[in-house]
Amino acid sequence: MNVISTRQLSKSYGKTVALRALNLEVLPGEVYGLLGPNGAGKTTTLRLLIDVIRPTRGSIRLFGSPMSPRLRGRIGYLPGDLVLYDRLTGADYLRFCGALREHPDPSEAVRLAKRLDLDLDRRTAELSKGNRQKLGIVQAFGHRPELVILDEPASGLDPLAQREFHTYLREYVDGGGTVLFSSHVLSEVEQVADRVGILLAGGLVVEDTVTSLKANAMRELTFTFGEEVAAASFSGIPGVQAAVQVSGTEVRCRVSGSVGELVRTAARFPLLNVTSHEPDLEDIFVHYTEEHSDDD
Amino acid sequence: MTTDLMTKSLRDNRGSTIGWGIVLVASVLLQLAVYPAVRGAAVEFEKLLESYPDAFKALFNVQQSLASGVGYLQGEVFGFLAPLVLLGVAIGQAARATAGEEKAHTMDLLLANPISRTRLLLDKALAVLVSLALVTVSFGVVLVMGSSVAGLGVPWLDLVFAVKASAVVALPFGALALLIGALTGQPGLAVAIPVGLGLLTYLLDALSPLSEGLRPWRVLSPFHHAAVNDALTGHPNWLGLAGLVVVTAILVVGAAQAFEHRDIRV
Repeated sequence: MNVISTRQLSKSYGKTVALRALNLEVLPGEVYGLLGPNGAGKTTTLRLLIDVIRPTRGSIRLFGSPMSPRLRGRIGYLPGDLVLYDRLTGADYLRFCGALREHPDPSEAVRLAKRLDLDLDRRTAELSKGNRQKLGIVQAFGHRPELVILDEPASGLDPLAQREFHTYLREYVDGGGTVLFSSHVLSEVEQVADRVGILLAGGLVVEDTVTSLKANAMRELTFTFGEEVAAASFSGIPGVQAAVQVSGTEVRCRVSGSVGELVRTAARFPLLNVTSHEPDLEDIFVHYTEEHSDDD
Repeated sequence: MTTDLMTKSLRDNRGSTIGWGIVLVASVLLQLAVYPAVRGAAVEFEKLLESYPDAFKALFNVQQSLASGVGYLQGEVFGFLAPLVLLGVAIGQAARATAGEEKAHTMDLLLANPISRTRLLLDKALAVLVSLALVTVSFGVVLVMGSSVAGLGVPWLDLVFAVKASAVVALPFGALALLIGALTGQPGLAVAIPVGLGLLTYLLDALSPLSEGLRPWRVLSPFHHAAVNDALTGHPNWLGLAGLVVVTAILVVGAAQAFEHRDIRV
């Protein structure tokens, strides 16, 4: 049974389509990163899941059931637009949340706050943006939920806190938890997500594991030869999408999948050097973004 | 019921409750302190009042001689002051109940907790009711004790009836503020519409004795059904008051329905 399962989930505001026919499956024990530029529909998706907005079409199942108030007790949530009650201290806030969730034990929240170096005795109005974000994270995990939904969790965190948070996220998942988070920071998704979905203009354009996305992605190989070699010698080789003459003795090829045939061909010439540019998620993201805008 | 949510709402409304409460209690004490002087100069006052147009007197609920205890309270306390404060408490706090959290962007996190939207709204509505009751009781206690000291000669039970009627008339306006807030998520609108309607229906009830054309329309005014003046003379309109409570309940149910099915604003 999947932790999150949506069918044809759609949301429109008048004529504006915010999300179109999303089929999202989040498996137990995984970290799923929802990636996309601003306005792609990430926040809309998460707010639909937490039931603060209602779908125009389609359905949502969490832990196999439709959303209910009781189910929300098993979920932790961090909104993208985090606002806390100014007058409460961090500890007051956690006590309030704990009471509503019928989970009065603050030990997990206190432990996480300590790890993130957050002072719970200060009023939230006095906290910096980063510290407020930490409190937002702490309240999302404080009641030991089975699923956490986080909208741009790392926003405002300093690198140290970010690293500690990512470590905690791993521990949480290793302990049986499931995470769905959104981000427009590619490095973050690459670091912590098991699977990634790229959301563009309200639609999921690709979904895969980070490893396999990278394996299937286009990479660039640049060959330097001891004599002039024509780029045309490399066109037509399986997997090679483009071969460009950089200079008389230098050829750059874009290749997807296996590079074996290309390297064998290059080895027939007096090859001096090969450099390879490994694709990162950014390249993949940019590739899909470009492809998507070509379609329009 | 979630006592935590209700107590938090009560605490959030503390400033408004205490502020309005002080305004009402202090004003009542002031009015009562002045009463012996007004009674002493009753003849001059009557002459002055006679020169005023009827519409003006109707507006300030001057029904009979200001020298009599009932007439004085009608004109100085129940005519304007009490409805202003009690409607202020009810409308102000009910308008912020859900719409205030939405405007402040705290609603998303609040709703992420395992409580239904209906329960959230009802808990917050209950907090408004408790605040209103606190202000009403302070008002009643001060009025009953002060009247006896100042020698107004109005039976204490009649005072209690009148205080109760003044509080009940605030209920439908508070419930309307709750409904508009639940429908729109805009506290400004949830204040403006009930305040506007409060003013209109107050005028409708106050001025209807002066105009044949207005008279049939006064059934639309909650102030007409609350009949505070009658309550003050020992004849509360129980049916009218019950009607206002029913209207309030219908508006609250409507508010819960509206809130249950709406998208929360970003």
